[in-house]
Amino acid sequence: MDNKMINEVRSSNKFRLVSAVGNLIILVWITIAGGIMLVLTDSTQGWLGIVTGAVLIALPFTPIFQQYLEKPMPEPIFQILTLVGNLLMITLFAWLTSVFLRDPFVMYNRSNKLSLVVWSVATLLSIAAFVANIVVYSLDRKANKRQLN
Amino acid sequence: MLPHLKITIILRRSLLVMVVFIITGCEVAFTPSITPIVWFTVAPQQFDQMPAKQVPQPSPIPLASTPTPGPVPFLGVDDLNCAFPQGGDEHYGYCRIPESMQYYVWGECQTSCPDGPYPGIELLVLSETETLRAFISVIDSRDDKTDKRKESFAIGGFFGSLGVAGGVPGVLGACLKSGSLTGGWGCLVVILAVGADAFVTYWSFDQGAQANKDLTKPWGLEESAQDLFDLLRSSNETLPPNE
Repeated sequence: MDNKMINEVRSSNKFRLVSAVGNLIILVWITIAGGIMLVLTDSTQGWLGIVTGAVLIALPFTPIFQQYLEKPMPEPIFQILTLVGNLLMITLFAWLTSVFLRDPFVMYNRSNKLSLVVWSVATLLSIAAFVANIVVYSLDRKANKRQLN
Repeated sequence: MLPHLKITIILRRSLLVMVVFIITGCEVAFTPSITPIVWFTVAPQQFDQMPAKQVPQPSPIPLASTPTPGPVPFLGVDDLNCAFPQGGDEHYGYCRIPESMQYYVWGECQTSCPDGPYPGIELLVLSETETLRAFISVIDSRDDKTDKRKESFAIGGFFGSLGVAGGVPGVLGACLKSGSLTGGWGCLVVILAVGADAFVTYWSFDQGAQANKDLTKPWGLEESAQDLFDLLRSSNETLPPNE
């Protein structure tokens, strides 16, 4: 089997798409929900987050995103580093959530309550993205093995 | 007697005899071929003597109980007629009463709460004293640190996730070709961008963590606000409301 065919087989994997969409959803949540949280608590920086979130929502419909999906990536380094990145995100958001959960005064004002919601959902989204990436990675491996055989 | 009248009388008598014979003859000759059914009848009921509870009545329509007004949540400054300076949140805070040198000061009731419009919250009207100035200072610092924590974590969370989401494909795409390190300006720029992102993330989290520590540590701003409010309440600085 020549290199061209191997590349064709590998380019059919869905891992790239799923991991990119997962990261995009997390970023959109942080920018939009985080932005709304800041605006609701009188922080003007929130508008910057909301605008960034709107740009991120439009990103999958641009040629840049398509080019990214078609660009060859070294395997399996890309998949491994993406999964490590997922774990980093989970750790980061879980730590932020735990900061607010451990604060006995977290329910004292709306700002703290909104922060707790934003980071709790971000943690859940990052866990969901990690699980989706693991599932798609294993499915891709099986599909590639079947096609190579 | 005329002959036709005689005939008429004879015919009438004959007809009468025939009718009597038919009626009596049928009744005598009839014998029932089957045993007649005996119908049992219920004894007459005295409806006017039935107990009232057995009288069928329409079932009552279930009605939702009228909701009683629940406790009114205290919204801090938004619930009061306040002038500047003001600060705090729904649990601890202060604001100046317009056209006066007195302040509204509120905080949580520790043991028993006085009868007021806001359950769990005690509202005081105080003149400016040293303790009140200390309380105002703590509330202002507490507001600053709460905002700092919220904004720093939001910035750190965004840049952290952006670095992870964009850093992995960015570095791999710019620095690796066919499994080997290529280097070059493109790779350097991407690495610098990821490094800057990591620095901003770390710096933001450090700022947020410091603010969080100032708020929640023992004798920190949260506990100080509680202690100072208790001091204000227990002292004799309370004056009757001027409204």
